Amino acid sequence: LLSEMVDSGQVVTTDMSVLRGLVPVPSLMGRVIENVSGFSTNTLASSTASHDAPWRARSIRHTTNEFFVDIVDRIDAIVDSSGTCVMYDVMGDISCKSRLSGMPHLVMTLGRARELDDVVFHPCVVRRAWDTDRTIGFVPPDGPFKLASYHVAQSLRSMPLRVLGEARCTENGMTVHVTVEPGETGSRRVENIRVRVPLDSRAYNIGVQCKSGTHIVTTSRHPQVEWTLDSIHATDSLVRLVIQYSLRSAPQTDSTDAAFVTFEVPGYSVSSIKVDALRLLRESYKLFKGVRYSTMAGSFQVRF
Amino acid sequence: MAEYLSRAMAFAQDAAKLSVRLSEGLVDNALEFGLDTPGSFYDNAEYKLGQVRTELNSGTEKEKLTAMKRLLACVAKGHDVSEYFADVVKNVATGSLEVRRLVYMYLLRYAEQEQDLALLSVNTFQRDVADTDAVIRAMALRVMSSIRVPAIGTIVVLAVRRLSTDTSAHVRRTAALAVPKLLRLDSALREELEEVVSGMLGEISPLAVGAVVRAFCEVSPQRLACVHTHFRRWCAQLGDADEWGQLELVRLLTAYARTQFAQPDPEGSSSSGQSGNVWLDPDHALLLGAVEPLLNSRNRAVVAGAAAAVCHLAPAAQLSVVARPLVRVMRSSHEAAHVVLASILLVAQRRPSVFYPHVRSFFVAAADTPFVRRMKLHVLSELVAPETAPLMVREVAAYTQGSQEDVAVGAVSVLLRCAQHVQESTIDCLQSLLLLSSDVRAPVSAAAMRAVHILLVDGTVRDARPAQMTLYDMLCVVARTLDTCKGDGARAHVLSLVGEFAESRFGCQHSLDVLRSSVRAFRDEGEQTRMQILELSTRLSLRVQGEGALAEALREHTSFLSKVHAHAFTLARYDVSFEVRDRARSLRGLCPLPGYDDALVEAAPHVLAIASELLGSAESLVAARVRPEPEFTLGSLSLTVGRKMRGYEPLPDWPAQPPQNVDRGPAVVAVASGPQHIAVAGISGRARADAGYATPRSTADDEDLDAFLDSAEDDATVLKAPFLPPAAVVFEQALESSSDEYSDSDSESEVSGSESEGSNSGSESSGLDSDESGDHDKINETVVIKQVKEVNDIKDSETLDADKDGEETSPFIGPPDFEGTSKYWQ
Repeated sequence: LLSEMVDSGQVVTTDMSVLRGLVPVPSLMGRVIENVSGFSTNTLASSTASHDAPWRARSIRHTTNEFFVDIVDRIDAIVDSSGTCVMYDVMGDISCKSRLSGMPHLVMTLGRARELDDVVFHPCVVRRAWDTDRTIGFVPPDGPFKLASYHVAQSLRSMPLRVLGEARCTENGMTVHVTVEPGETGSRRVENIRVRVPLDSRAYNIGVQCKSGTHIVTTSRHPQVEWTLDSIHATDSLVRLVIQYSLRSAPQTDSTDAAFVTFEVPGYSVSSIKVDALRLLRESYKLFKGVRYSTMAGSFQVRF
Repeated sequence: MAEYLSRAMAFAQDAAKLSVRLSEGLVDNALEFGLDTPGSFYDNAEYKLGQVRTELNSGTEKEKLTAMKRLLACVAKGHDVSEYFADVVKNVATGSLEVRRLVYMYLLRYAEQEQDLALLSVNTFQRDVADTDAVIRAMALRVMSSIRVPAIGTIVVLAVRRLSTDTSAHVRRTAALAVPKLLRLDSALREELEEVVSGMLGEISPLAVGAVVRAFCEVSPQRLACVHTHFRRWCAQLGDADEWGQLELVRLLTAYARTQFAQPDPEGSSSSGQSGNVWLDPDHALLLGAVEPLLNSRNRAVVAGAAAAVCHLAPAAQLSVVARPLVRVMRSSHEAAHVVLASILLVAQRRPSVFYPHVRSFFVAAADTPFVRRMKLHVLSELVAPETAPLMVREVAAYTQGSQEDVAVGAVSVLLRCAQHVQESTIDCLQSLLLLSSDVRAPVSAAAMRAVHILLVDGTVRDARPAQMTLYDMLCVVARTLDTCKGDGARAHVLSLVGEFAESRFGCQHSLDVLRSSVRAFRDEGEQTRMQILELSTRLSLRVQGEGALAEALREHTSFLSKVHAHAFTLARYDVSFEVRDRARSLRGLCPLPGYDDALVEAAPHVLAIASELLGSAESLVAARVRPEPEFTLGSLSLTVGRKMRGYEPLPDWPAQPPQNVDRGPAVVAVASGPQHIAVAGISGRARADAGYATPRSTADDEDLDAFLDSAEDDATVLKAPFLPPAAVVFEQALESSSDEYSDSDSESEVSGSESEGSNSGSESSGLDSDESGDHDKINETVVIKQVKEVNDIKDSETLDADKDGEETSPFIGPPDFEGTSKYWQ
């Protein structure tokens, strides 16, 4: 596989579908057949790539024709100790999974497409259509692929989760308070909240108090506290984590004073990008469509 | 009955036998099935090597496959298995594609050692080259060209020639890729290959065009003339080509454009006349229009490459398109940020305004790697401007309180820059800096005091006219930090500030106290501080002998001062530090101690004579130093970066720099100004990258520019416009855009083939070109050299050896000395 990808130090082919055409993928099924019957099934799907769409083989057949779209918004933010957002950015990906027969041509219309700036498309997308009327026209490659990634130009700053961090020095140690509070999530649950608080490398005697969720304390060279909350409902009140620790008297080494937060809000899109329509051209079968939205924390950190 | 029984017995036995056989077979199969994972080949490859030969010679494909896998596992583990070469070569013609692939891999590994035997396989390859399956053709050609056996060079060239007109784009691409390999094998084949490649330049498949361009760059970097006829088509194809091909194309076209088009700025075009400008621009705009969509590529290497191209080709007014893609790439991953930040820094130095909307993206995040942090701070300090300052000062002041030391130090330099460039924020910055001076971390407080020092000395603070604070107040605050501040560097700066402003109101009232208290703590101070104490003492006692405000104020304390002075020098004489003793000796030469150095006092006229000489040279030194000091200190940051970048160049993902530095401006300027448009660029090691440079098309007939451009225009349109409609469309668009954008563009543009190359899919690289920093570096270097020279001169003439090491290791302790002494002598 690598020999197809790189030729004497020069990168040649990195497109997944093209590679799949060139190198047969070993599969368990194939191996079973081979062992039982005694001959190899690894014959090559010969020269499949068509000329105008090298990412798609000509003869693809699926019994069910399905197309799934997954829109994931990622929030990058830096929140400082007073709770104001120093940096806030929403980026997102449109990932698709295509199981379509033949050579379908899809046209996707997005709601609020004007708010997207800096959109990066998979090469299968016809850029011209996007530039003129903001529709995404493409011949999808087979299987999962990333259709586009975008950046949202918006000034509003809605936070699905408000996290505040505060650190105080006590006489021979530190106290860190982290509070988590649900924000605007369109009354959805915020799931899989994980707050990672790296502590000073001199910390010892680490004590953690929290009412809900579980926490793991790591006391290695880089001590840290990881706090996991399964979910928070929009109506819940704030949850607090208190970490107390003492400091060894040792030279200070580099440490970070920020907490890293990850979370997921399934079914909610911060950017409110919607798939308005998905039309199928050039093929006659009926298409099963599925769209899923979610919002995640990209690099979300809280300074204290 | 008995018969029946015996039959039943026999049947049962048969059944038993059968079942045993079956189960054995199943077990066998199962065993093999289990063995058939790649891992097992790695584990037991050595032990089973003995079987390999028999397996290779056996009839079944499957055994051959196992044998080959074992061999390759051994190769991967670093064993030498070349003894099996002969057996392997026999299998070249095997039917199974999988075995053949493995055999090829083996061949590639050992063909160079066993040249004679490898020749045996060439026949098969030649047959394969004519195979009906395109994949096999491509594979055979690739292996054939990769086998480094010079004897078959000509045969391979024949094959390449044949396959270069193949129907399959994949095969054509392999043929094109084979060209550089052959060239490396035997450079005598160049001419033949040139011919083949020029035949291939008409490639229309987007799949192969990149490889062809690469082959072209490799084979005939000198013959840019060949590009003319293809230029427009390539521009149109740029969007369709595969990603790595896009990189090659952009690189070539950039190089080409730098030789062919006028500089897109008014000065350049006016010198070549209006007509030239009008005729040139459409193609240039066409190229820019084609490159711009690449900025939205999903491949980060392409983005970086396209950004570099735009930076080198577009007028400065258009640079803003680059900003967002570069920022996006930067944020996509740490690795990409690493590389792209360097180019962002360069663009920001050239045109900071394009990044103003993205300032927030450069805020340091806690998860950034140290290098990224540093680079972000450099970028931030480049982006300092009235628009960004309020936002930035707040953010950066927060960094200084953070626990990361390098960030805090970097933030101090950003604050310094803010204070110097944005007058409204000067006082804010100064206050944050003063707060920092008592920071527990020595480097941070030293940096902060240094910044305060610079701000006070270079007059920024004076210009800002602080309403609520006078210079006196400020100096009081600074001096008071001596009580709290622990850092050696910071204390040294405070003392040198006190010495600096000895003639001011503050100096008159308090300098003696400062000196007294610091001499008392002499032993506990750090090395730099001790030196500064000596200097302060010298300054004061010399100034007291002269006239001026200070002399008036200290009139009645003269004897006390001289005692303190003598005490300080006695302490310094027995100091543990070589440098302090040295400094004391040199200062004593300038200002003899009464009662101790009577011999020197007698020689005073002589010393004074030398001192007046020093005054002369020191004056010029101060002039040289005080003037460029802000530039120098900021520049020295970029100087550090410059060094870093030179260090990074050898890395495979940063290949673009050296040729770019070679391919600078003269080419375009020359095109714009007349017939001698050939930039004789120094050819660096990488011939490919120099592609653009040597020969524009009319080398032979040096006519005047307009005629030359005319012809270019004509043959390009005649040849290309008819057979590619899209080109024409883009061309028209380009015309439109050019009319409004390009005609009044103002930019200093630089010439260069920009290029970038991600040598593997994981690491992206950008080759923004570092002319600015290069120049900077140069200037800085010359400044430094000059200064060092001057310093050395002084040293020589004085035969005082002021500490040279101290000068070099702590560049900002050095300057105050000389400034101070010179001021004193005045």
